[in-house]
Amino acid sequence: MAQYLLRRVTTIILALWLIITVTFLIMHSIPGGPFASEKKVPDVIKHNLEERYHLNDPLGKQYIDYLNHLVHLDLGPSFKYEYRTVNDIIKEGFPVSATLGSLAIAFSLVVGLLAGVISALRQNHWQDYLAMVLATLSFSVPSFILSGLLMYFFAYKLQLLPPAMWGTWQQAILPTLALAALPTAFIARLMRSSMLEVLQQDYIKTARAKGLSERVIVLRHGVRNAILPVVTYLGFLVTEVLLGSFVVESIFAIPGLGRWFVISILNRDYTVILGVTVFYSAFLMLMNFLVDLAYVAVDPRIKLVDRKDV
Amino acid sequence: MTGKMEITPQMFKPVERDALAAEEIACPSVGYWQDVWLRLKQNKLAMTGLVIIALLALLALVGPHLSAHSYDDQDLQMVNQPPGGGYWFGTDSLGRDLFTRVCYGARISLAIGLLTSVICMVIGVLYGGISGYLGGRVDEIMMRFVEVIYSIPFLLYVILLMVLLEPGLKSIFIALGIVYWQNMARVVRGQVLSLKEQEYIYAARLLGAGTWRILLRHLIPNTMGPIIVSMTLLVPEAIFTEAFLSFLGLGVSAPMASWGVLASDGIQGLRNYPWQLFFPALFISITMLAFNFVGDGLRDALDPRLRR
Repeated sequence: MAQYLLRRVTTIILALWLIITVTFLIMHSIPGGPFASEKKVPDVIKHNLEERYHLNDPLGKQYIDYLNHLVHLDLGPSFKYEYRTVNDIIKEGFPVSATLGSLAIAFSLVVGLLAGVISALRQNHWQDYLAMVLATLSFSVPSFILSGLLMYFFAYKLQLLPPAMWGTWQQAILPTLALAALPTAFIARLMRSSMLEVLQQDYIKTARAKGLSERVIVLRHGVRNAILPVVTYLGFLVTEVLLGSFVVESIFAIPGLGRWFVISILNRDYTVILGVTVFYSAFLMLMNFLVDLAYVAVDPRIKLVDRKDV
Repeated sequence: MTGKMEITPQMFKPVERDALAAEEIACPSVGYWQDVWLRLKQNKLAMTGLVIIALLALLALVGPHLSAHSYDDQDLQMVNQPPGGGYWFGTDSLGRDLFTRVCYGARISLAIGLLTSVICMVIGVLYGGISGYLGGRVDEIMMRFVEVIYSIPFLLYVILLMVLLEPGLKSIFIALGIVYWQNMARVVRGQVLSLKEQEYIYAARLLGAGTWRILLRHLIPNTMGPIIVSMTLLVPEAIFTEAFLSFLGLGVSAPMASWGVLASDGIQGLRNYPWQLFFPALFISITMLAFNFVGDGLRDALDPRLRR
């Protein structure tokens, strides 16, 4: 266990270092530098800008500075908005994104697990077919298209829900659905197949033979064992929701970090792009690590040893 | 004694035994791939998927010639026309014929899907093959590298790369190739690891075959099954990712258009001109479904545990 933890932590640190170095190098190989624009900037101003952002220092020194800032959790200033730092942007946008993301994760877990269990219990009945057809459909629609379709039908055609912005609970419904569709489908399929497998195990037969009620068999003996693969999926779930948030927040005009990220891509605001990328990467790797730990806690059979054949 | 019948050898006649007939095989012998094909044919969803893919390919080839308009013809008199009249799918905000553009987008999207999966196949097969076959320390280091890379949320890096590279088809191939080869490498390595202990590999080595020959002639052809399944499932994933990049404004550059670009253009005018989103969305979704059905079908057809 200790060995495994050590291995995971070193992997994460290695990966983080790789990310930071690559982002740094990318930053400095941008053709024309971050201040290149269509408008011709007078040389003096350009020089002042470079002085201001220390772009005249030798590359080695800049790299050390950059690492030093990162260690102190300082992601630097924005290149497009004079008075904002990347930290400001994250502080402002991340809580909104986290709220929307949590809603989507909660939705996909509740609905996905429920759908999976029901379709396993009612295998080859209409409930099963309905759930699996819906799941397959949501697999085949990219999230931005789904957002567009939801917005068109529920906001414009039926006028049931507000099409955009953030603040009231009605405004949260469509983005949550759009963001949760794919993970819900995935969890439902995963849970269904895992549940089907568990229901064939001998201990389920034993439980039946003991005369336990169907409810106890399904919940305590079935679901508790079948849920394990879903726990391993949680790491991917967070990644999925986070990447989806770029699209969904942009379409529904939600002032989250994902939307900021997309805007900074369109603006070519390089420091924001890089800073947010580093932030997202660290966040996701931390999440994956926590999920791994949770997995050990949930399933005592798992002994995390040096996995040679992953 | 009287009731007993005399049995003499003369009463018996040896049956002519046709040596050839005994050896004859009742059914024609079925090779591995024929077997796979026979099983795939049973799978209705997979066959439907194959037919749809064939139709899409046909549309991509001949579609643009069916219409009187070219994909980059702008007609500012006919901006945002609904479907009907001379325009089967309507027109976009620059008065370009949406049908032609969707057909043209099929070329680009399908090309992105197929080429990406070929690129990943080549990188993944070489990397995984070498890692699995050499084993030991080399394997450990190579797989550790994959593990480190794997823990990085890679779509973020595709975005960074696309910001950095010139927008265009070539950058998309590079970016997607960098992301998706690792899975293929893992699949191939796993296969090679179990195959390399087989007798025919020992035999080949005994006959003096070199590492490369064993890898390329013996090991990799025998891992083709899982490789093809991964490739089939990679196609929709690449198309999906390309659509995502297009939405971020990092897709192929105008006037070219993939389905992703068309759909994200369609989002802009969604309220008043919904068909500009519906048609590309429809095509993306159908393609996703078709490739996923074929991939799943192939996986079932190749899985020896399902053999009867």
